[in-house]
Amino acid sequence: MRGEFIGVWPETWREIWQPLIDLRLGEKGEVVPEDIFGDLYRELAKALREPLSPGGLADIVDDPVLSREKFEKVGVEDFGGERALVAFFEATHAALEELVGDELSNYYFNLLAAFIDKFSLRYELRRPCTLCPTLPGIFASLVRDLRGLTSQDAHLDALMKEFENAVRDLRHDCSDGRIKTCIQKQVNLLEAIGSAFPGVKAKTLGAICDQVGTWPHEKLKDAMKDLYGFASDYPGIRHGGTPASALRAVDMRDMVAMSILLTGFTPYLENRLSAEAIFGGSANHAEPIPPVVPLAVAATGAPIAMARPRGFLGWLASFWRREP
Amino acid sequence: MSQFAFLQREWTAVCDAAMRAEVAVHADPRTACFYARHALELAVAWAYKHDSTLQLPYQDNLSALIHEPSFKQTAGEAVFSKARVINTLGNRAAHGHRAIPSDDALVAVRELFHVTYWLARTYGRLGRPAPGIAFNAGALPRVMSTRSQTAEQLQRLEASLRERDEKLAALLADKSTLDEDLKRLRAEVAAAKQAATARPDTHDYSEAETRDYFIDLLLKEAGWPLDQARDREFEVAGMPNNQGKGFVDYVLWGDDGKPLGLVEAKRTRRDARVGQQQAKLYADCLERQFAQRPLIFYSNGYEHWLWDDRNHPPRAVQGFYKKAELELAIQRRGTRKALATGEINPAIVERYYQTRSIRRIAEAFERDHDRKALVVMATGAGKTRTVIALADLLMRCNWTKRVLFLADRVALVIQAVNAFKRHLPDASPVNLVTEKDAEGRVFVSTYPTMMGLIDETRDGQRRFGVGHFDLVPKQACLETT
Repeated sequence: MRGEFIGVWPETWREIWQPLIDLRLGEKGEVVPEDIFGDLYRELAKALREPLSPGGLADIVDDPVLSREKFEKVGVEDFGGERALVAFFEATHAALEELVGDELSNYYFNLLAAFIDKFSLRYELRRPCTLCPTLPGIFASLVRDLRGLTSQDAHLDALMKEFENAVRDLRHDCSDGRIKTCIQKQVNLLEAIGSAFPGVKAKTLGAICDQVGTWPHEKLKDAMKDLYGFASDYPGIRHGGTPASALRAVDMRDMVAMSILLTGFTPYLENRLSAEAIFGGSANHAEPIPPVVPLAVAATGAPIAMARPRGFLGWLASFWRREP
Repeated sequence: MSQFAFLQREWTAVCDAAMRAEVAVHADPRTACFYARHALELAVAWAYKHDSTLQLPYQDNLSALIHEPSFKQTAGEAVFSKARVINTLGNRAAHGHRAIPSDDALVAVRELFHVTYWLARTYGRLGRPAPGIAFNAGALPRVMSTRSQTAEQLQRLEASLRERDEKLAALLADKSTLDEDLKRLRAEVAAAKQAATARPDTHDYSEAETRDYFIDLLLKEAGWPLDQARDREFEVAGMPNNQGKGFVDYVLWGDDGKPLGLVEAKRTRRDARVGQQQAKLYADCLERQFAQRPLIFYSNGYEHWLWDDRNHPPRAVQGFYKKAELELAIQRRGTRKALATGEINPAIVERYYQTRSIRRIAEAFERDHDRKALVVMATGAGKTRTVIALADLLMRCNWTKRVLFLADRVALVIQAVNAFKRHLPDASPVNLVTEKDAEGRVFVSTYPTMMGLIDETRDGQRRFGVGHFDLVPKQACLETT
């Protein structure tokens, strides 16, 4: 689940721009003004990685045919980043409102809302036209960025894969043994991530928490240490323990809660996770981003099935999925 | 001997009216209800006059006086609700033409007994009634020779009594005019009240009876006669209990024999919301049986909640919906159109900030299930036209049938009516200040006019019930200050 516009930009032509220019306005059914792409391109230019000169931009936006041509040719690789693209989608509403009025801008709003819904993007569209990151989107970004980060280190990569494999195994068997394995693998991963934190010498998660120095309050640090204490003390997760210390057998409730809590703590253990990017999308576009490809594209415009995210991310996506 | 004799020493006028009510319960129920309300009026007026902690409301009619927060706080929920019952029955007696059953008169006098007990216990300076005294319905006189009075006769009597009673508002308008006697009395009353509140009130106010009756009363005000066996304690199958069955306290039926609503009544001091889950289970059973999900009401007699559980979260309401209002609510489940794709009429509003505010309000209603929105615009920015375009959108999308537009001055009402007539003529705008009986889809009124009309009943039914209006735009008072 990438959930960002930048991954599905090529789909916007069919889903948004073509229906928008096909709209017939008012009772007389007038066509949309031909200079619409001039206004759209003026906004789109602000989202491009390579800025245009004022003269070059004026030449394009003043020419309805050229502006449409240029607009159509903009590809994923041309954008400065997800955040810039989000700003473009928001600004387009005001531009269309200025060009025609509520009839066109509201139609655009509804097309954009349907697009977000269809491609399960990580935003909630609010009036007048604001793209707000959603909780599932933020969490998915966190996990995605965590995965990207661990993939750059052989040891972390192996631990991440072990954890994701443990999550996958639950698909077939939700026994307490597998749940304990899941928790254990995740704690191992966090321990390894934390031990690589600059200046940290400790090797156990509890001691790492004391050394990272990222906590805003002691209680938050204590909470993380307590979670680690649970994993260390509960019989059969990290150590044999004693049965008397368990209040009950672990079940899927513990799996859900622990995996979300432990993942939520990772930004304290890893400085390279950018909270701003996790919340609002990346500000730049330095790396090629694998697009999210729909499994099937329905010509009817009905919601289509997206490529199912894999592993822990997929599990999280299903957990957070909001009922319409 | 009268059961209201404990009032004789300190509240002679109240006692006199109460005894008239007491005597007429069986002989002339209409007169009994009338005098019960009159006794209540006198008692409440006395409290306002002598208890300096009570704040005089915006007007001095009985309804406004008993709803005033300082009175409600002093009297408590039980006494407040009893006062409402007496007021409602008294209004019905004086202004309705349907026969008043002696059971209703008995309720009015019984509730008056408890209210006056509270009065005497709280403010009595020369002695307080014993906590153990109880109302005895069997001891009421069975005199049948009195000639019954008509509503018109009672209205004339009401007018003459009003003339005689001193005007509270005039009396209390200027506190500096309070004479020395009243100041002394107030001090005595304050001391008596303090002494009374220091001791726990152990009197049995028969709350369960009031709660029970209050629900019936409100249902009748909403036009539900409750005269069929299936209206109450309706048995449903499929409840998740050992017997697999349950009994719905009230089912509100449609003309097609399907349930429009149900009421789960808890006659206790407990929060009305304890009945919520049970009501939902009853709704499940009724839906399985009749293929129509009813709207859910749950109540403890004093607090009432409405829950259309498939569409909106529960909300507190003042009473119950009428049949037509429930029918409309159920019909809207399938016929309401999306506001997001509805067209805003450009002939009414054309400025971008107006359409934006309408779209945002529509989003709040449709997506967030909010029920309130605040529009802030500068003078001359077109707030009234924005509201008219919003009403137009909501009407076309079948979200709204009737609109009540409230303004704080008559001049603004006239302006708004003219604007509605110009932009939304099909809605038959009504100026409630000048055309109180007219019908339409858009009603425009000042706050005081509406406060006067809100409790109005016609043949025992409230004209403007809980579900009468779907949209109530209120013009801020700031504009005129």
